[in-house]
Amino acid sequence: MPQPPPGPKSTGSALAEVAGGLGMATAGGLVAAAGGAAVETGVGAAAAAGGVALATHGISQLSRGWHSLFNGGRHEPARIIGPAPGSASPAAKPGSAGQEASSTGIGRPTSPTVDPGMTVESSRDRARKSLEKQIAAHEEKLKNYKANPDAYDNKGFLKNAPSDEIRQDIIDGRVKHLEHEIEEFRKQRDAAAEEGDGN
Amino acid sequence: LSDDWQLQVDLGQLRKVFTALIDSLEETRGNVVSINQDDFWSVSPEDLYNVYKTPESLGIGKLSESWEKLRELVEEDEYPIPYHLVWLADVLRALGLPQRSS
Repeated sequence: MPQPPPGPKSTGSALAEVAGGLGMATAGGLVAAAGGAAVETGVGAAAAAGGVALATHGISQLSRGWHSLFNGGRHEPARIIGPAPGSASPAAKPGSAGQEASSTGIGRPTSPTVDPGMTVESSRDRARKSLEKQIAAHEEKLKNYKANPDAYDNKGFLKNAPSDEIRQDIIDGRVKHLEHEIEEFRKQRDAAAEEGDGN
Repeated sequence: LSDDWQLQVDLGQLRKVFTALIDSLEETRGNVVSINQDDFWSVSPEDLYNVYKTPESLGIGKLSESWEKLRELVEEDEYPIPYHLVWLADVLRALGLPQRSS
């Protein structure tokens, strides 16, 4: 029987390690491939800063969340970084964090002796394989969940559901979430494949 | 907002933000933080930024699942995909909100 994942116990240092490993991947591709220090937000990166107040269906603004992060007093003042829309991407200053982000790619240092074109292609292939792996894992998880949703009921929401209808709504919601993620992985995989074909 | 408006996020600044927030979290809550929530509402990527339409069908994500994906990234040397940022956002949001009883 499939085992539910362990409880959500997080460590700050582990989170920092995760962020370092991500190396600021973007929704539209990987920074290593794009080579830019500033990112125009796509769908994926945006959720971190603000988020939507789900319970009330409120609407947040990403720009407000981003600028708030720099208005806390001890950080740099809020300002728009990077080129104006439509202008060329700026080159990162030597030694700047931006350059560090682009040169280290997505947390896996790339050899300066490797042809840049080959490095980008390799990164894209690895990303595509990783997405394929996520799709397969999620499909398996979805199948297992449908077969036995109670096995994943960490908090007892299904067991203690006030009615069969609410219990079914929770199950449907979980299925929907996993299906959405699988769909998103497929889109990103197909986009990566199209980028590869375009070279 | 006009169609050509774009928020530009400097990754160097984002890295500084993340470091500052993680440092602050460690100072105030220690090296390990317990989260007593697991299930959360999620809006599909299709609906998330379409403010002309109230999301009708919400999914239910699990923080434990999001965290597991992030752990795999560093412990099993998974290759990062853009969606890892979404899983990271799930966990960060939970850390940034007060703990509530389920």
